[in-house]
Order: sequence, then structure tokens, then C-alpha cells
Amino acid sequence: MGSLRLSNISKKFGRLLALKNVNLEISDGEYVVVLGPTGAGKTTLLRIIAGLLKQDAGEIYIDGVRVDDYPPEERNVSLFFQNFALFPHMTILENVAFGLKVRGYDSREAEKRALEVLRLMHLDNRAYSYPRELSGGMQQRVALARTIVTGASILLLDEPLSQLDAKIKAELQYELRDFVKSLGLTTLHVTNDVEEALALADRIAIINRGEVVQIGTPFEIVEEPKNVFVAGFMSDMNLMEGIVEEVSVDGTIIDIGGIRLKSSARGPFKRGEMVIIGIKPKDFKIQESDGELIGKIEDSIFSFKHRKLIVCLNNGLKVQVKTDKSGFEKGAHVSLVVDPNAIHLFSCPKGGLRAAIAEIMGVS
Amino acid sequence: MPEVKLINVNKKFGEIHALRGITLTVKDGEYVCILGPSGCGKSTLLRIIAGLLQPDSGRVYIDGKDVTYEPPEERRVGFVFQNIALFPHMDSCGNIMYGPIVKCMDRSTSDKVVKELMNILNIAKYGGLYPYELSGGVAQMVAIARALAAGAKLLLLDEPLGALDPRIRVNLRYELRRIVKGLNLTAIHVTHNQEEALTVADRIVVMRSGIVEDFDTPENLYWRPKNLFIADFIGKVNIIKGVVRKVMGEKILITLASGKSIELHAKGFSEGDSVVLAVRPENFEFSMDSNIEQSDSLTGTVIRARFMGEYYRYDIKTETDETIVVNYPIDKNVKKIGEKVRIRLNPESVLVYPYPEKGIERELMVEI
Repeated sequence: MGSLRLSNISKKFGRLLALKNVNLEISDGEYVVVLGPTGAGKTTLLRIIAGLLKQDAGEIYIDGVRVDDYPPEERNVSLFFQNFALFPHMTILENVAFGLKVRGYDSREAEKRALEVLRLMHLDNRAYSYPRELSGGMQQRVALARTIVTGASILLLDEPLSQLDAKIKAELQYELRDFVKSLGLTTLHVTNDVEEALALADRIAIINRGEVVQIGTPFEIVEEPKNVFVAGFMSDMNLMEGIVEEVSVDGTIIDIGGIRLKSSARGPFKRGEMVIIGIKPKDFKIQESDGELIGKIEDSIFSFKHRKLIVCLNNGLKVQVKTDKSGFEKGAHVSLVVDPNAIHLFSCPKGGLRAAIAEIMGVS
Repeated sequence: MPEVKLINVNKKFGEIHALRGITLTVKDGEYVCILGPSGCGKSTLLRIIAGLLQPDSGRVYIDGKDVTYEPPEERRVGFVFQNIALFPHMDSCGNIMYGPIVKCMDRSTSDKVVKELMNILNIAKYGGLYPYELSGGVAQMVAIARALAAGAKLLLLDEPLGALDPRIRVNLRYELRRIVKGLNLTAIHVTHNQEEALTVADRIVVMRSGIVEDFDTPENLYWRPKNLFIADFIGKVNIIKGVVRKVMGEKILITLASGKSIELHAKGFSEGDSVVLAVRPENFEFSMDSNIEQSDSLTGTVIRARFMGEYYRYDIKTETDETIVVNYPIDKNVKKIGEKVRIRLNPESVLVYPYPEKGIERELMVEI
């Protein structure tokens, strides 16, 4: 069993508010990814759950029991550090068994259990190798085996895939999920990588500046982002400022720098209010003429099956447009339409769009 | 205007042969990425171009001039590292002005150059801030400005985005390209990230174990890779084994392990050849009715289904026990784990290669 509940966790470092009223409930066997930019408080949160740091306020419950006063080793959690370090002078097997021996297991029992976990991770044939003889991906799996072998039912993973080559990571992430699921472990994984979060999570919690801003399934987070930060962080959505011109039962009409667009989103918007509109690059349709948006192609970038066009609209705004058709040359004029259902609307954050984008891009 | 030419460059570190006979030309104004796994020699190559290392043999030409034994400062190159190394006691302006000042350039001219650079790189407002006050992305832009301030027209970038958050990395790719093109620079950018190389470069050098495996445009590498290694390294491919049953002019008929056959356009194969088909995950279609027998489709069971933002990724176990990964647009029918499906290969996008002599695993190894 391994359910986890965080209730109103707050933590300050000097004047910096690292975590602000974090509430999160993870059920037994669930895989939750906490996703956010560097400095959002992700590692701090894990360290508090593991018992390596003490929160200033709030409570932690594991399997319904409040564990705030428990030392790390009594919390039934196991923490994987971002900069895992294998002992270079020990074999893979010894590395994995080490934690068990320290906990008082006799040497033979410890190695037996270590070998079992290595077998599950397809590493048993490397048990007697030394870390330097293994690739980065294998070393990462060894470190993971070392985390899992303790038998704790809650796994806390701090950027477990960040040191891998892109190609290895792209496959290993799916295996990691299958693996912890097959063991029935509860996992809390933190990362700044969107693709990793999508590949792994049952639910994603988006964290920014110490606050959880949205929790949901990958689908909910991508398709129904609650605010500009989530929208901009999760995808390459085009974000633009606009003014609400008209609100009706079937949607909202927005003016963006002289161009009128209709969104089927309604929301609690008022006439004359400044809002942020979001359109994903894939949701623009290019047509011969008569589009709502007219612009000129400034650049055309390879994007796997598609091409990404940077289009400068007649009102001076630049948008990214994804297309699977070819033959769009730099300098050519294009005419674009967007389905009203694909036009997202968000309330304008404090400081406007500029500040929101700066926040997403980590330049504020 | 810098063109970079390498002729038969070799470099050893003790027993390790880091570079083996590298010959290539980067054209003036080109944005080239050097892509390869850790340890393939890509950074060594960049350092040799910069003059930070000397080759054991071979020549390096910049702008037609042999610079093989010239020190870095004579080469007029700007170098940017992964670990953003700004002077901590200087503000951004001070850091950027460092090069022009050391080179005793005319102050009023360099002031103007630096101002313009900061505008183009969108960092003008950070001029008075110190490195510890900057985010990673901005600091790296300051480092690039510093690399260029003394007038370099050749920009060498060693994993310039490697230390940044993924979200920022994606955005800065476009920035990098915009800056290089806007300033008419030649850029050589080392990365281990396929997606980064594909989206930023005009051409990509693919390296493996000290040799150049290919040097081509992103489109050609992705859609027309010249061998199975490139096909697999540059983006995921599914590998399906088969045998050529019939050669019919420009077409061949291939029988797959499942007994199914597929007709493809391909040259240079003979009857009885063992081949491998390589198919990108986005190049499958699901057949609507999984009961209708079709010769060129595979049947299987969905064993994994993940929503990946713009597509669903399905892992499908076929009747012959191969696992096929299919990326499918999200606006179509969602498949569930355990569902029986029929997938169709699109013959137009199937790549076919001779079965590798040393086996598939060996062919795909990133270190040889």
C-alpha cells in the first residue's frame, strides 16, 4: 500500500517562498508527475516528502498516517536523486545491495533481492560489471534498481531521465512506467520536460513558483489548460492579446490588433475586457484565399512530418503555423482560417501577455 | 565570409581514435549541426575547428586559408559552451565588451556593434544585470553576444542549449537560427538531440565513433536516409524483416515474416535477398475493419497507448511477436489497450535496406 496526501504544504527559504499551500493526493499505484520550470519548487517538494527537509506548514499523510515527525527511513518512501552516484569500486550487484546491507539484511539475502530487481530491469547479465563498463542508460537503470530494491511502496523520482541522450530517453521513459506499474508502486516523479511527463503520468500536476496551478490527466492538461502559463508551458501554442468585442451564447468575438476572430469559448468574459487568445500551430488551416488571417511567410522550418511556417500577419503579429503540405516558400502570402473550437481564451494575467511569456520562458 | 573546410582530419587521445579521416565542407552562411551520441567525437571536431585542439594529421581551412596550426585568436571564431561561462564580476554589457576591449578595438565603433548585437539578440534590457541575476536562457544569449562582439563571423556552439529547461530550449532553437541568419553568420552547432538538429540546421553531420556517417539536409536524412543506421538514429523507425520474392522492373515484392506481402518501389535488389523495412511511427494507417484480410497490412494487439499532446503513441504487438510503434493524430478514433487492430503500411513511405551483414543490433549500435 502506498497512498500519499499532501495538505497545505508551505516552505520558505529566507524570504523566498519555495512552496505555497501545496495540496496533492496520490492514490495507491498511481503515477503522478510534477511538471514545472527550474526553480518552481519541485525538488524541495520531494525532499520534504522524503523527510530530508521539514515543511514550515502543512501535513503529509502516507497511507492515511501523518508522518511529519517520522525520520526518512520510517516513511515507506524511496528517493531517486537527480545526480545519482554509483559507487565506482563496487559491482552493479554490490551497488544495488548496499542499501539493504546498511539496513541490516545479511549479505546473502541482500544480494538475492538485488539480483531479483536487476532481473526485472534486464540487467542481471551485468550484475558483476562495474559502473564504468555500462552505458549512461544502463547506469541510470542501476540507480533506479537501487532506489526500488529498498521495498518502499512510494517512489520519489527527481529528474530520473535527465542525464540520458535524447534517443535513449525517448524509449526508456515508457519502460520506466511499465516497470513501476508492474511492481504496483506509487510514484511521484518531478521533471521540467513536457514530453517525459506526457509519456509517464497518470496525472500531471503543473507547478509554478511554488504553487500547483493545475492537476489533471495528460489529456486534460493539454486540451483544457486553465491559464496562459499552463497553455504556453505545455505546447507551442501561439498566444496573443485581444479585446472582447461581443459575448453571445455561441461564443466570443475577439479583436486582435484589428482582426476579428470568433472563439466558441465563452468563459466569464466581459465586453471590452483584455484577454489572451491561444491557437495551436496545427489548428491553422491554410487556404488559397478568403481566410480570416492574411500574412506573409517569413521562415519555413523542418518539423518532422510537417513544416512549421513563421507567418507575419497583416496586423504585424507573428504566428507559427504547422502544415503537412509542401510548397510554401519564404515571402509567399498565405490565407489562414481557424475553427472557433480551436481558439482558446484565457483571462489576462497580471502584467499582461509579455510577463506571462517571460515567466514561461524563465526570463522574468 | 567564412567557409570551413576539413581535409582528412585525425585525432587520437591515447588509445582512443576520436576522429578518423574527417573530410567535409561547411559553406559560407550555412547553419550546420554535428549530431551524434555521447563520445562520438563531435566536440573534439568543434575544438579542432576553433583551434583549441590540434589534429594529429589533416588540414583545417577557414575562408580558404590553412589555419591548422593557427592559434584560436587568429581564427576569428566565436565559441559558446554548454556551461555558460560569463565573468561573474561583470554585468552583461561588461561581459560582451570584453572581446573588443582586449582586442583594443575602437571604443565608439565597438559600442555601436555591441548595442546592435544586444538588440538583435533581444537582451538590451539586461545590459546592467550580473550573471547571477539572469535566467539560463538569457545568460546563454549574453554568452553568444560576447562570442560575436569582436567581429567573429563563424559561430561555434557546443551543446549551447544543453543546460537549459526543455521548454526554453525549444524556443531558443528558433532564436539561434534567426540570429545566425539575420547576422549572416556561418554556424556549426554540436548536439546529441535529434529534434534540435533537425529543426535548426540547414545540413546535419551525423557522426558515429569518430567518423562521418552522413552529411545532408534534415529532409533527406529524415525521409531518405541512406542506410538503416541513419534511419534509426535520426528519428525512431520500426524495423520489419522480409525477403524479396519477386523483382518487377522498378518494383519489388517483399514477403514479411507474417506471410503478408508488400509491393514497393526499390532498385538494386534480387530475388531471395533478405531485407529490412524501416517505417516511421507516423507512417501507418489503421484499417477501419480489422476483419477484412488485406495482403499488405499487419494485425496485432495494442499493448500500450499514450496521449502525447499532438498524437497518440500506440505500441502494437503483431501476430509474429514484433512490436510496432505507431504515432497517430489525436483527432481520430482512440484505440484502447488490448484492442485488436489492423495496421497498413503506406508503401510510399516505407524504406527498404539490405539485411545488415553483421545483424540489425550491431548496425544500429551508436558506438562501434
